[in-house]
Amino acid sequence: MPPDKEVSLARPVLWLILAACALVASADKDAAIRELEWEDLLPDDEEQEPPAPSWVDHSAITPFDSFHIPTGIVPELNGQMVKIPGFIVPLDIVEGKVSSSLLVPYFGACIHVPPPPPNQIVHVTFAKPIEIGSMWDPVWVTGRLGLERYASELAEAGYSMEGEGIEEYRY
Amino acid sequence: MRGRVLVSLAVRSLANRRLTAGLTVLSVAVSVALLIGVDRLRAEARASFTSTISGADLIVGARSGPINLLLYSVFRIGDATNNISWTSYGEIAARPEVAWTIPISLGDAHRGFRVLGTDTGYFAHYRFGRERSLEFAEGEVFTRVNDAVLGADVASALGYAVGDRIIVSHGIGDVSFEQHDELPFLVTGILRRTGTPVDRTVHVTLAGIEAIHADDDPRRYAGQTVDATGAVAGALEPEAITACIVGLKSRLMVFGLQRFINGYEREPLMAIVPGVTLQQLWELVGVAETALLGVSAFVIAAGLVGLLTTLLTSLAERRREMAVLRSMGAGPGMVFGLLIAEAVILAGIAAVAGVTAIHAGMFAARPFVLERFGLYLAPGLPGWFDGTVVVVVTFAAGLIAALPAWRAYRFSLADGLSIRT
Repeated sequence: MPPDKEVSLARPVLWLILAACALVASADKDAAIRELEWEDLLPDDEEQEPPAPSWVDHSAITPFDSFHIPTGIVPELNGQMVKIPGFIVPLDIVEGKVSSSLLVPYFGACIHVPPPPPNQIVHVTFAKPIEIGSMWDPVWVTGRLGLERYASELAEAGYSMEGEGIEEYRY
Repeated sequence: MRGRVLVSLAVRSLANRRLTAGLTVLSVAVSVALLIGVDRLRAEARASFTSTISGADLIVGARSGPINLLLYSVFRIGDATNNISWTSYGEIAARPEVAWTIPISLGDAHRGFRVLGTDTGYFAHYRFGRERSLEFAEGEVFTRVNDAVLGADVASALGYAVGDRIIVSHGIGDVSFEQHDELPFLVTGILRRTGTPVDRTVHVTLAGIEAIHADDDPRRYAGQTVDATGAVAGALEPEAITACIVGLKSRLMVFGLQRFINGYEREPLMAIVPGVTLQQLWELVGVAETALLGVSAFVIAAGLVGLLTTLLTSLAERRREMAVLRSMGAGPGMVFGLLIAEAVILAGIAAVAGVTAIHAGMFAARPFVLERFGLYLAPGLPGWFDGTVVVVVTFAAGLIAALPAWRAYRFSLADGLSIRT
């Protein structure tokens, strides 16, 4: 075999190895991001179906304080890179892009239905504001989870997230 | 090598017909400029629109519709259906999760500009754009019943300066004929331009609003100092305000307080999350902007059809040119390529010229647009959208030029050399 042939073979092999490395690396990165479901945000003793939104009974809005509200959180989640599916409720919009939002497990959390309990809301801030399509579309939000302390009659702390990006949620 | 000959031939041939070629370039350039212009304006309008308020967690008003509440409380468009009583406002402001509140009292005007009654919290907590707060260009915040702080547009349009005295009329019309018992307001401050409706607002204290509606002579309240709530306790306490903006200690409590206010039993109140309502409103307005963009795309199509027409008509007068080329040894493929090259060159020049012209034009028009329409055009370099338009237009021109090119290819030799009688 002439030597130049060997060189031309060696190159694709090198590329293959490189590609394989890249694949492994990206798989590694994916593994570091934990996919969460909303129940994972509840502590073990509260792990049940979150109270289903009682669909719109306009005639009698029950006073807010009369709900039983689960409030516990899971401190171990602090600092983890996670990916959560949900609906984005925009709070701050900068130049047409969302810089701060609340992530909630069901649409319409801001109207009519009782709001999700404090441990079923994530306050997501985006250092790089993101564009959202329609508020009706569910998305995956990726970012580092944190705890947000606040004192109220309901709860001590809730979840916050430094959002890195969103992607479309496919059913 | 062949390619270079082709391009140089095309360029020379075009230079020979510079008038029609120039006009074709102009028509395509104008259509490209229109599309880019519409896209830029749409992006700027959206940015400016959504930057009107930020950092606020809830806006509270009488129960009506969310968009209506947002429009009258933030954009000063339309009117409130009802008020919030002063006691309800106090109860909301005293909730443990509330960090700050800004009361808003609307309904009066000064020479066509809306008058807004509020307290000093307005200047401390109101945020717009990227967390920017209000700044004074001149003077300072109001402290007395008849002090006023003007938005930048009010001051420049009416030529006011700090120290001037103005009359606030009842009602929101341009002119009011209720001239009795007028209480002159002293301009104590002028705000820096924000590019939001704040620029077109006259800000006074809540007590000032009460005073001009007082049954007795309002002048007796002149010069009295107001307290932190914008009122004069005991004498000029408002019975009601139009709306209020609420900031919370933690944004996780937004839904909780919203629920509390929407279910408030003493009077029908409504709380909206401004970001949500801005988004809803923009989704509504967005249909019109998409339509506008669609129209401009059609204008580009029309421009390209014009280019096609020019090329096709030029074929008749260029029979000789083609025949000479063929007889000199140019193959039919060369003739085909020549026409494609012409179209691509024309469209490419036109697209680049259009993009350059619109960006330069918008840059030059910035002061005028800001003054006239209150729309701030951020100076920006052409982006990927502009690049895409140039590429697509050039490519499309090359594609449609296939028709005249094919005709020239088919007929060039026989047509040009045979003598018609």
